[in-house]
Parts: sequence; structure tokens; C-alpha cells
Amino acid sequence: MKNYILRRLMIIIPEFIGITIIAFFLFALLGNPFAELQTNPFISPSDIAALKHMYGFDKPLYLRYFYWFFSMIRGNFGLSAVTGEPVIKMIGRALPITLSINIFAFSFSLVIGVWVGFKSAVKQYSFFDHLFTGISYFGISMPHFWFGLMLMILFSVKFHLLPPGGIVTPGMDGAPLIAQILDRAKYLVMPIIVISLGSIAVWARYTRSSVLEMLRKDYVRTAKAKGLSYKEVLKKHVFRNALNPLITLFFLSLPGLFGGSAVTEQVFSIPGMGRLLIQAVMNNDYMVAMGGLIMYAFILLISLIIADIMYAYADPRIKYS
Amino acid sequence: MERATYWGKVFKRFKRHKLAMFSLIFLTLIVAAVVFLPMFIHMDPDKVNLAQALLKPSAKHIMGTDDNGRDEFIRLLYGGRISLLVGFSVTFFSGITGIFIGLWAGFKRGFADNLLMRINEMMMVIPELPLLIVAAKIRFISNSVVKLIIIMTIFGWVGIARLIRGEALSLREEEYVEAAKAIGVPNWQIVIRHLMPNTMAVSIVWATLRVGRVIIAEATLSFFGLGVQPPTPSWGNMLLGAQTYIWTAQWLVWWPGLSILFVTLLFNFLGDGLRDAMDPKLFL
Repeated sequence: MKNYILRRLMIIIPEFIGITIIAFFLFALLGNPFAELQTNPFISPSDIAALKHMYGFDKPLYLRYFYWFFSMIRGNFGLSAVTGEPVIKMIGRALPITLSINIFAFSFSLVIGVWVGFKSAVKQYSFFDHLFTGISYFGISMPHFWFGLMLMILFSVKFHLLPPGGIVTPGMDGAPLIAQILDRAKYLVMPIIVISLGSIAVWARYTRSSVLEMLRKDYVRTAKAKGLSYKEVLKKHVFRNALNPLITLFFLSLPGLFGGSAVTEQVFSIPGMGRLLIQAVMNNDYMVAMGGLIMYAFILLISLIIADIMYAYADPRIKYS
Repeated sequence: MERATYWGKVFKRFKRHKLAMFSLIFLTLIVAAVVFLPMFIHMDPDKVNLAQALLKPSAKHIMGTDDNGRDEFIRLLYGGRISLLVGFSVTFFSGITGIFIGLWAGFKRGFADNLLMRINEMMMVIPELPLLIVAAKIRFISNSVVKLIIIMTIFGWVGIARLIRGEALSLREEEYVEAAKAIGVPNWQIVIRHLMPNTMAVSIVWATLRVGRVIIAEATLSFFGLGVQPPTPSWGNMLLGAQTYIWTAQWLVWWPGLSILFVTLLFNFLGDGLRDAMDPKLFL
């Protein structure tokens, strides 16, 4: 086991380096970020040269990569080309916002999704099963941004209940804490619904098929045959074992907590991680985009390893050699 | 007596699946509508007429007009052509690529297999949307529809390749493969004749479910302004300005979105029906 963990940790290093290479050269493909400046007659060539020098763009590509890579692993993600701010500061501002939305949406959809999936598997082909299977079909068939727009039409345009976007009402700085929290909550209701709908559908579908598989197992029949109550069988024999495959899904979706849902954040103009990343990519703000991508990928790599280790604890039949 | 072939049985089981049959019929009707209806309605989908901008649905414009005074219904039909074209061709090209790479990797093992699995892991780790946006920003071809198809194919084959590789790994141990090897059938013929037909069920179900996802991805990219470029309509880029219309012209938000939702829903129903008919154990 120890050996396995060590080996997995060792694999991270080349994988991480591979990702940094992909990210860096992908953005390099976008071309010269100063090309637009060069066509501007009001900016002198010497200023552009100075800018290029400042951002290190006068050096060859591979040197730039090494420079970027080594300053990054020391925690320096560079400066934003748009605002001139350190990337780490921008991430530090966006991350809490994304986390506050996603932790809520994530736990909400996890509990609801697993519950719905479990119920509909135990009562397969019942009304409940059909109803929620139908809803989860809608959940996976709808573009998220469109669902967000529909909610806006309903809650903001028709009923004037919730603000259509943003994160805070102007002038809320001096208000008491409770009022501030309530104000923030008003803005987060719709994004949380949008993010949750899709993931509830995913959780419910996974849980349902996993539970259905367990219900067909021989040991479940044995447990019933030896006279255990149905409730007991479901709790100890079915549910416990059905959770194992969900562990992988849990850790696979964990990085999403930090990455944020780009589409949802964009639609509701929430200045979180997802929007930061998308805006950076759109504005050719390389450093911010690469920093965001690398951070996301790193968290995902770690999560995958934790998932593997947890899996071994949860299911002792799995042996690592 | 009729011989009960595998595909015969599949067809029989599929016919009993009412929802999937219904979806198949409806999808055929939708495809027929977007392909043939514009031939009979002589209206230019791109003609700007500002005097007629943002008209509510009426007898003349049954779905209203957009901010440039273009008839929403005819644009929805032309947009459907583009969205479905992107959906089908991305699925087709990425499917073909993925199936052959997956088969080869699973059959040959070794270097090809290792390479595939490493690429697969990397693709899993890097989030898809930023990747697609970066790719969409690179200027390499002027036609935005062709460009979108190329980009989404490049990033779309890995999933099916991994699935098919898994299938090929178990198929290569079958006795008929060994027998074929023993009588000296060349590798490529084993892959084509023996492995590929046995992975058809996985591929068909994957492809059906995939079309809907590609349509949603196209819509998302176009919504950000990076997919199909106006004036060519697609269901995604018809929603380009939708965020401002929620106050003034809600019908412009409804129609393209409902079309995407409806078509994707039907593809999902169809895919599930096909899975139940072909291989109920499959989880895609």
C-alpha cells in the first residue's frame, strides 16, 4: 500500500510537467499578444519593445517556458497582462466566491442526487423512478446557460424576486452582517440551482445504476434468505457497497469546487474562478489563464490519487501490487 | 423459419421500447424539416430589415423577428441545419478516429496503448471549455463551421477511444481471434473483421448519446461568440444576445433553447433505448 501511494505520487511529477507543457504551448499558439499594440499608431515601437522586455516576450519560446515553469513552482504565477496585478492575487479574490457557491451546490446535489438515485433504484419502474429519471434527462439535455436564462426570465423579469446577476447590491458595505449575508444569498440562489440541476442528474444516475447492480448480487439474496429485514439488507449490504464506485465520482468532481462553473458564472456575472479563467482566455491574458489551468489540473491530479487510496480503504477486496 | 440474428433480435427489442421509437420518428421528422422546409419557404434567413426588428410572434412571423428584423422561424430552420450538421459530423469523425485508435491500442498493446492512456489522462485533467475556447481563437481556417467541426473532433475522440480500447482488450483474448492469428490472417484484417463488428453496440450507443452533447457544446461555444460566426445562424449563436432579450423579447430566448433541449432529449432517449436493446449492461 505504502509503495503504491509512493509510486502514484511519483507519477504526478511527469504528468504535471506534461500539463504545464501543453498549457504553455497551447497559449503560445495563439500568437503574439502585442500584435494589436503594434498596429496602434499612438504607441511607439520602443514602448512596445519595453513592454515585451518587461513580460519576457523578447526571449525564445523554450526559454520563456523554463522561466515561467521555475517561477511558478516557487509560487510566482506572474502578472496579468490586462490589469498588471499578480495572478495569485486575482485567484485569491475569485476563489472564495467560487467556493462559497460550489461547496453549497456540491453538498446539496450530492445528498439529493444519492437519495434520489437510491430511492428510484429500490423502487425501480415506480412512479417515483419514472418522475426522477425524466427530470434527470432534462438535467443532462439542457445547456446550462439557457437554463440560467430561463430562471432569470422567471425570477427576475416576471416576478422581480431575485437580481439577474452580480454578487452584491451596491452600497451594502456598511450594512449589518445579517443583511449582508441575506443580500449575498439572493444573488446566489439561481446560480446554485443551475449548477445543482446538472450534478443532481449525474449523481442520481450513477447511484441508481450502482444500486441496481448491487441488488442483483448473490450476497444480497443470501442476506434476504437468512431472514434479515429488507431495511437491514438495503442499509448494510446494498447501500454500503453501492457507495464504492461513487467515491471515484466524488473525487473527480472535487476539483470542480475550485474550478468553478465557467458558463454559469459568466451568465450570472459572478467574478469567480470560472469567469476569471474564461475572461483571461478571451482577452489573451496568458498568465492568468495558465495559472488558473495549472492550479485546476494540479488539484485534479491530487484528487485522483486520493480517490484511488480511498477506494482501497472502502473496498478491501482491491489489492495493490 | 426466420433466422434469429443478433441484429434481428436487437430490432425486435428496440421496437418494443416505445419512448425510443417515438424519439427516432420525431428526430427523423425534425431532420427532414430542417433539410427540406427551407426549400419551400422562400425567405432569406440573413436579410436585415430594421423596420421589422423585434416583432412579437404573429401570423406573418410565427416565431417573431430578431433584433435585425429577420424571421426567427426561418433562422431556426437554417440554424438547425448547422447545429445538426455540426452534431452529426463531429460525432462521425471523432467516432471513426476514436474507434480505430482504440481498436489498435487495445489489440497491439505496448507503445500505442501506453501513449493513448497518457493522452487520455491529460485530457481528463485539463478542463474542456477553456481548451476549446483557446482552440477556437486560433486562426487557421476562415469558415467557422468547418473550424468548429475540426476543433471538436480533435478534442472529442479520446473518450470513445478509451471505451473501445477496453472492449478490444477483452476481445483479443477470444478464441476466434486466436484462430484467425493461427491461420495467418494479417493484423489489420483481424481488427476490421473480428474486433470492429463486436464493438458496434458500444459505438452506436456512444454516438447517439454524443450527438446531443456536441449540440450543447456547439451552443455553449457559440453563446460565447466563439463558435459559428453570424450571420450564419446556429441554435447556439441565435442565443448570442439572448441575455439582453430576457427583458424585451423573450421569444428569442425560448425557441433556440427549446430546440436544443428537445433534440438533445430525443437523442438521449434514443440512445438509452438502443442500449437497452443491444447491451443493457453498458454504462455510458
